[in-house]
Amino acid sequence: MHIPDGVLPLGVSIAGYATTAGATWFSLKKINQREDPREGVPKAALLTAGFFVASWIHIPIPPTSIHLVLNGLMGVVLGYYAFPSILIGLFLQAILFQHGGITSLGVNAAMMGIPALLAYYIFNLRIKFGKKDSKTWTNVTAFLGGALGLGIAAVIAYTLLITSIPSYLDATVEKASILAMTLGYLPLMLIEGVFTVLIVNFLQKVKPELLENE
Amino acid sequence: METNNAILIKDLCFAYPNKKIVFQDMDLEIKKGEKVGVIGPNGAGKTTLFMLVCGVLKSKKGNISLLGEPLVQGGFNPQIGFVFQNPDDQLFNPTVWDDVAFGPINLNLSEEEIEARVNKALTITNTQEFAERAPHHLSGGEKRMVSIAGVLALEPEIIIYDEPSANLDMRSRRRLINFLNDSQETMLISSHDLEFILEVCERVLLIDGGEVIADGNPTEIMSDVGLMEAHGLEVPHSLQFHQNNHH
Amino acid sequence: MDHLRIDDYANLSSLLHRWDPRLKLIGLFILIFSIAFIQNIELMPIVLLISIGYYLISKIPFSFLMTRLRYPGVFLLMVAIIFPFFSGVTVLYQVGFVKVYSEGLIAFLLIASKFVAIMIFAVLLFGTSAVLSTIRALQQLRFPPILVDMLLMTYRYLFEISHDFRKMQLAMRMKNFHATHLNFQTLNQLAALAGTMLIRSYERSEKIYKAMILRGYASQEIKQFNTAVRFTSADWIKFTVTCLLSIGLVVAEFYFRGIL
Repeated sequence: MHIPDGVLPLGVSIAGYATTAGATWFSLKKINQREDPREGVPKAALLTAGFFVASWIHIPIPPTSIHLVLNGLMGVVLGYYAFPSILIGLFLQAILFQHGGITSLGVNAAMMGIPALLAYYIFNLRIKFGKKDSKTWTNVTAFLGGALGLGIAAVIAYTLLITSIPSYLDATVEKASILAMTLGYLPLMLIEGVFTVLIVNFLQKVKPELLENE
Repeated sequence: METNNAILIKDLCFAYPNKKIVFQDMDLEIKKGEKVGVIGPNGAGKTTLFMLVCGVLKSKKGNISLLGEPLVQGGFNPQIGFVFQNPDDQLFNPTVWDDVAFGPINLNLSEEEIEARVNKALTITNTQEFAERAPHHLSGGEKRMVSIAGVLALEPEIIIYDEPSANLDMRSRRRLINFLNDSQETMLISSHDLEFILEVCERVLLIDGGEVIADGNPTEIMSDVGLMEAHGLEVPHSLQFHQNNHH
Repeated sequence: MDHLRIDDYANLSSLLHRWDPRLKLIGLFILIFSIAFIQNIELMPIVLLISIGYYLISKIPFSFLMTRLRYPGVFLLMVAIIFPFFSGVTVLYQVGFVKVYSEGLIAFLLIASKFVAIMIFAVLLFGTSAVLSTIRALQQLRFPPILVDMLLMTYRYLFEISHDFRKMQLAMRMKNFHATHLNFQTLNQLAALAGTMLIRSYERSEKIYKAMILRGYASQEIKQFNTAVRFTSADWIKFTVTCLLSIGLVVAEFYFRGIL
């Protein structure tokens, strides 16, 4: 899911950085509106490290296994801290083990971070509709958050990759391949969505205050 | 106000939200310069008491004063320091120097004063050589001494140690005992390592169920088999030997 | 966590190690972005020569650089398989029904060499100063304080938490848990593992926050000390040389595109 260095044209990389700067500014603005903005810093920082490590969990899909992205869940748990948290996680992955890239950091952060914010809004719909304690609402919104978090990121990634790489394919073939790739992601979205629901249920049972991000 | 009391607690009541009462009308007086051991089973209320005395938790009722001044509940009380059981929870800064400087910077001291305080704290704890190191590269004993340095840099007159000998090897433990015996601050030390308490403290509090069950001389209290066993504790080996000699 | 340590060779002494992290960050970023700008394969030998030159100056062992290539190597392999064989119109070679297209081959060479060059610069940028100095440099370059605080603390606890994670994995394996089949139970157990990691992180953050308050955090705005050292002329010379190389690459690229 991480787009590496050397693939994207310069314009796309710069646009990615610009989008990421905007989203970070927006998130920090929301964070600074809190009574004590720095109170959330240790929580967000430690959970960033926690998510970083949790993304090492392999989900077995014989004969191979996949890593989870968990960006939807990050939105659900971290709220407005999710975007800075994803940016920091990707930055550390890029500099510590060359996973992702330096020039593509902005693009990667935007394509994973903005769906995370969306997942946060979706998960909070249950509060807006007064169904905070409804198990069905919790599960459905968590599932949608997790599945769409990954799905939107995947669509953005493949669209960028296929349209920006000189592939000598015509437009209809390009569209078809984006569609095929996206359809290929449907089972992964399902797993990511189910996994998000399972973790949300686990947290609700063991540490409900982790989900109190209104 | 001139006073001999380091800590004075009157009618303290406390309960966690939606849970049963932890403390009910507790009174406690700790004199300046005393080194007081706090023993008791898990869940006796030791940590809660410490958090109240430091001002992290707010009491429901009652007064706590430190050195004759009322405690700022839920605020910053630089006259009292707290050394956490797990040094990793306390060493949250990227380097040892930054961690020790964290408190002085928050006191709004000048740059020279901060540097002087950090150097002094590192010297007292004999950790100068680690100043530029990252905390996660230190051993358990080194982490312990560095986390103490971080508290000392605020120059508190009262220091609380929560399980200071936990996870220490014998040599680091011995070093810590010597260090605490040489220290001048008023101390509250909780520990399951009763031998440790015997070596460092001149007074001990046995706490259970949010009440002070016994308060007095460590050797006397800890050699009382009936009292100790009633509260899930065991008489330390050195005192068992002591007892056997009397039979 | 050995593979977390990009800065194992940060205390060597070389022209790059002695370069102030702030100017190094800006200078190498400019160079990296000008490499990203290049679309002409003819320029790639020069780009690779520049990156090898900087690498040789850095004195970083070759074996270290190679271990850093291992993870992203998988990606290169994928590009190497897809492009030359499936993308393009001009057939360069044909063996049976396997065709190698020249456009695909060029696209592969372009991506691979840009990728390797940028990766070398990334390793040099973050491997010739301690990660903490790099983060400090971001701080001094006026990145938002909340972002820098979060970054510092995440980096600080990454080691502890990954250590915890390895222990938990080991404990699960000792209870004969092997994630080999995808079924609901496996998924549920893995979710519990992930959830436990998150809860531990959260509980630790609560303790840390207490420890921070106890030492005066949030009692007032922390003043920022301007302890940053001033740039030396050597810092500026390295910066200027790097910028000139970047400009040279961009100009050459324009020339090859026929704009100049």
